[in-house]
Amino acid sequence: MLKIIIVAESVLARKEIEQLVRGPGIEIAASTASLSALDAVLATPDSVDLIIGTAEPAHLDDLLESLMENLAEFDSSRAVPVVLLVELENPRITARALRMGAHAVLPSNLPRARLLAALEAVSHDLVVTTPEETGSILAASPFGAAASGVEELVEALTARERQVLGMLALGLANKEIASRLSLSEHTVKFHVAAILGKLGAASRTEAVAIGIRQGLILL
Amino acid sequence: MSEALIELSNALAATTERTAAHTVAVHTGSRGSSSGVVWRTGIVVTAEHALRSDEEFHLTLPDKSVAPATLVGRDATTDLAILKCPEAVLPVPAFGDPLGLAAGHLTLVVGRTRASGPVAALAIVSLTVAERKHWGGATLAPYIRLDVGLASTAVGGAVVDANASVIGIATPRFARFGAIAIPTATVNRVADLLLSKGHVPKGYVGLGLQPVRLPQEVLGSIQRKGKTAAIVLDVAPDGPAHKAGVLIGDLLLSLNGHEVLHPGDVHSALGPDSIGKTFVAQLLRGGEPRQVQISVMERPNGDG
Amino acid sequence: MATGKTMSAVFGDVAEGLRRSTVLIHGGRRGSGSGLIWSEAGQIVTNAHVVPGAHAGVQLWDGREFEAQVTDRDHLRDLAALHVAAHGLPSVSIADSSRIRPGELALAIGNPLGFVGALSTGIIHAVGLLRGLGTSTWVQADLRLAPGNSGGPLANASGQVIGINTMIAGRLALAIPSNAVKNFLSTGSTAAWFGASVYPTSIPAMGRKLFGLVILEIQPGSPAATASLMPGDILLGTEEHKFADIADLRGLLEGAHLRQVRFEFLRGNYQRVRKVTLQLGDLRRPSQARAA
Repeated sequence: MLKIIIVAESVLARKEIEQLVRGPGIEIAASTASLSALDAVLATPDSVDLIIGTAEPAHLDDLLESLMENLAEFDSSRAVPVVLLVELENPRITARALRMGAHAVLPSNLPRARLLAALEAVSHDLVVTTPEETGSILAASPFGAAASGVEELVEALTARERQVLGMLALGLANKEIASRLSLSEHTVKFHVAAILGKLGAASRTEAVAIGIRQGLILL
Repeated sequence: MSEALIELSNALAATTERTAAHTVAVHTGSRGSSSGVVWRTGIVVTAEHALRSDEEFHLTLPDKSVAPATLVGRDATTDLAILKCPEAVLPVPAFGDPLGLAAGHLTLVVGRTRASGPVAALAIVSLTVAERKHWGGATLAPYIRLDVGLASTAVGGAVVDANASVIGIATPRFARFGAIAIPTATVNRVADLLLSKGHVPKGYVGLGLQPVRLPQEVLGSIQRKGKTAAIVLDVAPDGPAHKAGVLIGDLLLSLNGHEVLHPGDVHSALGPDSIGKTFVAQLLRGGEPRQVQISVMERPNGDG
Repeated sequence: MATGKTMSAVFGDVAEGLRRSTVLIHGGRRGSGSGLIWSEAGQIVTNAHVVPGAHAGVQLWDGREFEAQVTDRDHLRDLAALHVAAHGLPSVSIADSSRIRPGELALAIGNPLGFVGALSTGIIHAVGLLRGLGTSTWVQADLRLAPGNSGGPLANASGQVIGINTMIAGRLALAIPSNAVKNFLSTGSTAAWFGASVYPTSIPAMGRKLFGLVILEIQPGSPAATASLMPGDILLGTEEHKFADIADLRGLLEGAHLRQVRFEFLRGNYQRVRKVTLQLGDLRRPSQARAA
């Protein structure tokens, strides 16, 4: 029996996912617009096996980031896996979501049997993608080649990451940043690590220098 | 060896020993260590760039004991970081006046390692300049360059003059070779800010910039030495630049009278002294020169 | 109008013919996909993502195995060309993808889930742009594809190839049109020279937030330079299509044929949308590094 939490801003989207997953083998522990209401549930160990979320393509990054941020608040020995359902499979979105830590990005029209198989795999801490996506994702690079003089950027930072980067520019310590943004230090470290990775920086100072040069840090 | 040399050698050793009473080794992570100076009671100053993270630090004190220390704040612009260590009950050193130094004067850089205790390097002042501005807006006054090959373990150590007075903190930053002594006035200013606010305030105009090469046609039509400038790619809504009417796509040619060759120049112009000032920005918009006045505010630090 | 039985027999023949021109490709660790025999002299076409390396194993319908070399790749359009040392191979016949009609019968052959030469049928849903997938044209068919169909043929009722199956979007199978494949094979790289580096941004203009590409630098002598575009100009799109993503500009640059494209842009003033025509399709590049 897989215990899942459904997260989606729109009521309609939540109902659609509920219909999709409802049935033998799945227990819907909660269906909500935001994880922040579920502190109690998430804090209880073994109360949830995975989280399924969905959003409009433009908001997928934000959804995933808020899910990862909320989960990072819990010092659990095993992180709760996150599965994203998408209307339209897009290698760039999938690649980005997987890099951000999602365990699976699946098309919302997947037949129930395949969906259950995927969820079961995810609950065992495996990452699942459809084979059609895997090739495209791995072939595509976030640092896309300059083609015809149209240059690609370094991988975009999320809004939260830009906010944290701005605070690194002031030389604030993780503890300071955490208290000003009302996050745990653990979560801030997670964001700082993501920022260093995306910018290819070896240190906070380097990340600031790159951020200024790229226009990611407002001066 | 002649008498004079023996005397000099002994004086150097004595000065090192005296200064070492105020120096600590700073351990950050597993990679080696750097040095620090007990600047005020329970407060240690060290070089910012040598601190890898802001996890907990440990200090090796002169009595060889190891004590934990916490980071009060760091300022990459001046390469200074302040640590608090209640167990570092050490006397504060005698401070001297760096303005008294000139090229040719002898100084010592004194640091500490856990394994060997005090470490020393002989540094002749290679040049001094009354004031010099650096990347990010740091103004070093005076700017003192030392002719010394600074070992990484000595970075952050005390620079003492012939009177055994501490005149600065040693760092390889701000100089292409050798090292410089961050002067006592700068250290005190930064320490005060870090201890009271946790960070050094910076000026802010609300612009995201990238460096661009100016096209030939543009270079021909304007009077300018530099061939590059900064392009505005982001304007913070309701920020100072927005209020001044700056638009995405504007090319920023100069700020406060200084040519902007790349975003770092804007960063340098926005040190703590810029807060509250009005800066004139020369722009190029659609090929036409324009000028706006921007009121610099303090960089928001995430509160509220 | 043929009777059901005759149609079924005809269909069977068409499928069989198509099956013989479809190959199974072992791209490496990532399992397998499909490909089509484009020429009897040994040229094979598939998706770039099916063959991430420089070589791949190719198996014909009759079981023969070959080692293929990847001769060309366009990872933006997701196409790759391979060569096998064989001749007299049964090659596909190609149809003009611009003549596809929605509602037409479509067939897909592939090697899904290890089944070799499986057939899937359905109808053409549409041919055109898909939001979120740039400005490349996709042939969209209402048929069921499975893993392993990538790189295989999408054909019309006559068995002529109208596209290469590339991905799934919801219920639909998406295929790269055969005309785009022909372009790719004839020119190698399909991208036309534009001559500017750009930065995607969001502009508050005319009461809304517009997506735009800010021009950072212009290469001398390029189509952008010839059109007198300058750093700071903000490209909004073409007259027909507003940009939503940097990929939209790349999509426009696909194809080496000479053409004119009319761009809309902002310059210094968010209230007035300007237009400029660029000559695209000239693949020449400046022969030396540009002056500082």
